[in-house]
Amino acid sequence: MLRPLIEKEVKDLLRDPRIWVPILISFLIFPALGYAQSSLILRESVEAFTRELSVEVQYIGQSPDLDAFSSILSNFFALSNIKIAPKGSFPEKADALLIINATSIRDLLSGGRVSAYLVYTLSTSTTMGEEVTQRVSRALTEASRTYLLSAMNLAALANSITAPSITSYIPYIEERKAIIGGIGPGDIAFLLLAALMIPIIVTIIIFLILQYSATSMAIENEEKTLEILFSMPIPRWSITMAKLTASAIIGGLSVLGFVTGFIIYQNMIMESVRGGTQAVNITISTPITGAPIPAEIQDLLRIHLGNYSVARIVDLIMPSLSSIAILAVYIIEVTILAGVLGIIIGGMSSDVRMAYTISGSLTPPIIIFAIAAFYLDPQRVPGWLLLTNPLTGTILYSRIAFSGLSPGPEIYLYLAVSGAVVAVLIYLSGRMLSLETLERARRGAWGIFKRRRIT
Amino acid sequence: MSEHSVIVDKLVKIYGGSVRALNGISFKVDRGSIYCLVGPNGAGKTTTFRILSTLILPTSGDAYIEGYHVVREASRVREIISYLPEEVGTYRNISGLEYLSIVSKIYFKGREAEEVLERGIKISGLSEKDLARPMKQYSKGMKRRIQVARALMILPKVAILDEPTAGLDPVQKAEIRRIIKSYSKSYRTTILLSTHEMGEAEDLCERVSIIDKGYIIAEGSVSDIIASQGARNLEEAFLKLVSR
Ligand SMILES: Nc1ncnc2c1ncn2[C@@H]1O[C@H](COP(=O)(O)OP(=O)(O)OP(=O)(O)O)[C@@H](O)[C@H]1O
Ligand SMILES: [Mg+2]
Repeated sequence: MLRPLIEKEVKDLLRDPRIWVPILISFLIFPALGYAQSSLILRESVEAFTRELSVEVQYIGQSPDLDAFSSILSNFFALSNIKIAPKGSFPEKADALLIINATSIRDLLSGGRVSAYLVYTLSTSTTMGEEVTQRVSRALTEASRTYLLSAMNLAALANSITAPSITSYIPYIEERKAIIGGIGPGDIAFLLLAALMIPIIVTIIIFLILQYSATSMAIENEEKTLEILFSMPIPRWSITMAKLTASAIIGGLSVLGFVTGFIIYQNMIMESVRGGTQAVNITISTPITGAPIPAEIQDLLRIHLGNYSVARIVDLIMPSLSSIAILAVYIIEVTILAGVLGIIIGGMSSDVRMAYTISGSLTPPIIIFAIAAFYLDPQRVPGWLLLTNPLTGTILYSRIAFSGLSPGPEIYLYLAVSGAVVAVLIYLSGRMLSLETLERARRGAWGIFKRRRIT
Repeated sequence: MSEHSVIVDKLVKIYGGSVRALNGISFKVDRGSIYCLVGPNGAGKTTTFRILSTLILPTSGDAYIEGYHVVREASRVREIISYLPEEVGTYRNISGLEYLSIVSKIYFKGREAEEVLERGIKISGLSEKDLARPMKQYSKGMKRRIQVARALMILPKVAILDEPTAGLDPVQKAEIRRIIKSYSKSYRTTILLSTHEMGEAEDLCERVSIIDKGYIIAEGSVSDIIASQGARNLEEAFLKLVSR
């Protein structure tokens, strides 16, 4: 008896073009973000750092060191892809004009500095400008330093003077009792996004399902097909269950779309970061190398940290199997919750517009709940408050799962309580499924509305 | 078992504590006949049918379908009736054929469900091509035909049809009436039907209750009612009765 009802729901659902819009959006949102980030922002900054600059150089004053200095400078300009423009090029044909006080070059040897002025065109329409100053001043600094070292016969000490110390960073994750080895900037982005992903997906799915099940129920009201269902020899709960199945399918499809889109996004970002890093040959942040930690350092770490393990960033992102299972139960619960809420709203709505209005007005509270659950510190909030209902429970637990935390056994109690909340709602919605109750509820809701309007 | 398929006894329905939709109506319907409730807008026809279809509860009074009480034995009643709501619509994205098939599978299994579906297709009179189209593309007449076929194909003991021809053009009205008549002849199902069109009542109904403001103001065969009012046709008799 449930099968034909599910068949009806699913066929009616999958052929409804409206439901594909949100699923498509779920799928496209991350690749679109990735495209914007990688090909517009990253490429532009990569280009800014790699494109050929042309700079007109002019010296003022006299100095015997001028020839030596200017040849070193032009070497460093060449390394940075900066072309020296002929006299009179700036501003029409050159990006910048570098004016160097030639007499100050000699000051280097007595503790002074090379003084220079950089005039450059600042464009309001692009991000250009900052790169020009950075690249030119870095080249000038390198050139001055090299000139100084060679003038003082210290060329052999070049490295020690330019980078006199090296610190290896060892990040420690307390909850996991692990240090991280082998991390790159892309990995960090991935870690942050993974924790962000599930709450976004969940919030969107809640809206989708709420609206879908509310409108599908309202349409049944409007078209009187609900009366037909009620006059048929079918149990009330099977009507609810059929609608909830449809809700779960939209939920599943959206998750699938999101995950696929996210994987594509992930690849785009990784590619562009890698490409960008190679092209510029600069590191975006200080890399933490996976180089082995010497034994004596390890011993020292053990004294401080106890028995620690070395984790890769991927291990931290990957929640444990039990965490995934718990999260899945939460997601199923929240899907059903949204479906049930939709059924109640739709049942009480005499038409689709009313269903939209009511489910729309539920949007702000749901968003507030979701944001609250997302920003609260999982270690500080009382778990029973947020984890005993499927809405905030899903969002908070996804953060717990993806940040490598593992909650105590009380999580199963919370899970059971939130399951019971959903079960009660299913039961209530089943009780509501009678023409008379729905009408009474509708009158009740309108009554409240009217009273409020009079006062 | 009595020869009455439907027994309605002093049915009262008060909506929301104040609207008296039914004021104690009683009537009996012979098995296998077409029985009509005829009355103006707001008379209480739909209210009566909703109570008989187990959708709403009467405030007081009793009603039985084939001996089953519509409140106490509602699930039994649901097994043997089918209900056509007034101004009924359809599911948008499902084809007529799929809809009939789904309904047949709600009531029956396997071979039996297939037979029911075959019958539904025949009753609807729609072409194979039309049956395969999603119902949102159907005209009002086609939708109504599918719904009438849906209600009748399962061979209910009692079919409750609330204004089955309302809102259709004369050709479609005649077509729906023809379907109901020929079905009644073939299967001898008890049919309860409401209308406010006198021509339709004269054409279809064996017995008629004239209902107004929640009271039955006349009951009998069409010719009895015309004769009792000394009128030329049912319309005249109806207007005389209602204006009293
Ligand atoms: N859900 C409801 N709540 C309150 N009053 C109602 C409700 N449904 C019907 N009524 C009232 O009950 C009375 C009978 O209505 P009903 O729908 O049974 O009439 P009807 O004979 O079917 O009319 P129509 O020919 O317009 O369909 C009307 O006065 C109507 O306003
Ligand atoms: Mg009516």
